[in-house]
Amino acid sequence: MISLETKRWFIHQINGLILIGVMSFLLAVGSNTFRKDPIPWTDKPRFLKAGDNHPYIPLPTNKMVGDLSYLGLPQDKEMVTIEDVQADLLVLEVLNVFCFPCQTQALSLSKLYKMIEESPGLKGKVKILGVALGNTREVVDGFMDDYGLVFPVLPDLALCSEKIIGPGIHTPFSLFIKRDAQGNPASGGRNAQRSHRRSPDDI
Amino acid sequence: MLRFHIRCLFAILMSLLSTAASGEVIKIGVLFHLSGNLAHFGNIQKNSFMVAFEEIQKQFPDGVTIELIYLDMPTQPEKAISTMENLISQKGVVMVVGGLSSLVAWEAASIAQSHKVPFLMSAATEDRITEQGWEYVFRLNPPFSEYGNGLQWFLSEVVKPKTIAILRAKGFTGMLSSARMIESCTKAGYEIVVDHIYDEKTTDFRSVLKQINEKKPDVVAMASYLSDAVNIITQCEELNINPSIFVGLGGGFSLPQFGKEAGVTANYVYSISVWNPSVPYDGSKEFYETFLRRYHAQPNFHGADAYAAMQVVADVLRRSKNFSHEAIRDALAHTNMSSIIGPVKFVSYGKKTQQNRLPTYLVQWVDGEMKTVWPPRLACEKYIFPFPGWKEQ
Repeated sequence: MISLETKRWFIHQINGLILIGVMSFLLAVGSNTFRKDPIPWTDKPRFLKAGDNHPYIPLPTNKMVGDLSYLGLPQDKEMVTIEDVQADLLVLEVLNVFCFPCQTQALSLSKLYKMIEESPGLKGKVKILGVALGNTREVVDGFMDDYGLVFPVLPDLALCSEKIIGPGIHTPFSLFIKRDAQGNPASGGRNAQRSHRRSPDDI
Repeated sequence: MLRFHIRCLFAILMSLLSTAASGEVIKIGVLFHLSGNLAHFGNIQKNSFMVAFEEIQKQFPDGVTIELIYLDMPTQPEKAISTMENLISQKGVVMVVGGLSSLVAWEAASIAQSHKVPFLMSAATEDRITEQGWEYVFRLNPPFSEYGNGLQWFLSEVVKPKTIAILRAKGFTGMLSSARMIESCTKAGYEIVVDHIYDEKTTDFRSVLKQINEKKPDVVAMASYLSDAVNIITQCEELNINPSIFVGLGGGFSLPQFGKEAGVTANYVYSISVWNPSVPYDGSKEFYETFLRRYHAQPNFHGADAYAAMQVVADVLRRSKNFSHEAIRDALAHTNMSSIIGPVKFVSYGKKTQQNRLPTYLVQWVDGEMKTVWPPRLACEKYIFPFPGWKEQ
């Protein structure tokens, strides 16, 4: 006879394994080596393909809505980059607070965030960051509050993230970025159109 | 032989009589404003509800007869309370559907909650109604705070304006109130270069339009009724005003008559919309055509919401374990279906509970027709941006 506690422990382990499996899959499909000379921020918008190197993304820390320490970012620097984010895998969600599918997807990402934080195998290794294309800090604040979101979001009024998602592509847009074998801070890559169309619910 | 036939006939008759006697009558309360200043909308809702009922009553469970009990919902909240009480206590309804005025719907919802009778709201927009944790209250339509999202999304990703000029009719309460538009623009970081409030009866806008022309705004937004909408856009052409976009906040700009009266001058003007027949959902266009044929008038989004509410009722009654209030509430809570206004699933997010989530749209006028152009994946045509100028009309 298996006790209820043993059953619970077993189910917990299975859930953890599934989550780790999914994340490993994302690592496998969504990444490639990060080149040492990142794409300058001033580059023209272009389509990134799965496995492409990730562009250089400066993050103004004073604008961030959410917890900087969650991302492992220094509090004393005005600007940091994706490279500074302390994570093996970063789920970077380019969203717009007014975009209907982004709102739906953000709710799912919030659930994913909680699952990751509750998983000892993933906590600290997989992190989520939202970048709000064309939105001010004020509207991002309201959005986080209205939807009860927990992962950090960076307002991007200057439309810098447009250079990541490419011309004529609209939000939501998901990228999965990992560190490479050399331990460079973050390696680039995304699921191009596939990830763009996948909801985190599917993940 | 004759005796045998008579016996058979008698048996069939008895069987039919017994079926009729055992058939359950399910009473659904329907509350629309059928008199007073909201009667125009209330009657569109009622007619749409009836169109839906006729089309889908055959989907109801066998042996069940659905009886719709229509009551005229007074626009005074205090009177609405007694109407709702009457519907629940005297008429014995299993659930209530309808509503439009938020003040009235608020009172009706609180009564429904206290009696534990499921209430499906199809048109009231006040955000707080679904922020009370009322477990017997469900809302099908988007709350007011979300009506402008389609436009805001388009502005921030496509137009990327720096400056906006706003013309607004005094007392205008369209899908996006002009006050809310001002607030949204400020929060979004756009500079409002002109904010002009005019009387509804104004016919000559040339003076303010000249001011707007001097400021060269990226966006000209208008909160207008029908005749003023036509006058403004005609005079914009006359004065050769060329922003990146002209956009109406619903109202006159989302009425079919706007396209007819303004003609080609209406071309490329945008308006916010929460439903129109070109949205890509099954049955949407058919509903529009049936309504038009039967009532010789075009249904608006309140009508589409009412039709969708009837679709939800049919779905809920099919799935409900029995017809108790609790069972119907549970079935409503587990709704996951498609309707003519989009998917229906009552979810909780932020402060809201049991709220259906729906996108809002942008339509663009092209040769007398409103086309859904935003959001991208629900658009029937690609948007034309920026405004190509009056010579291209």
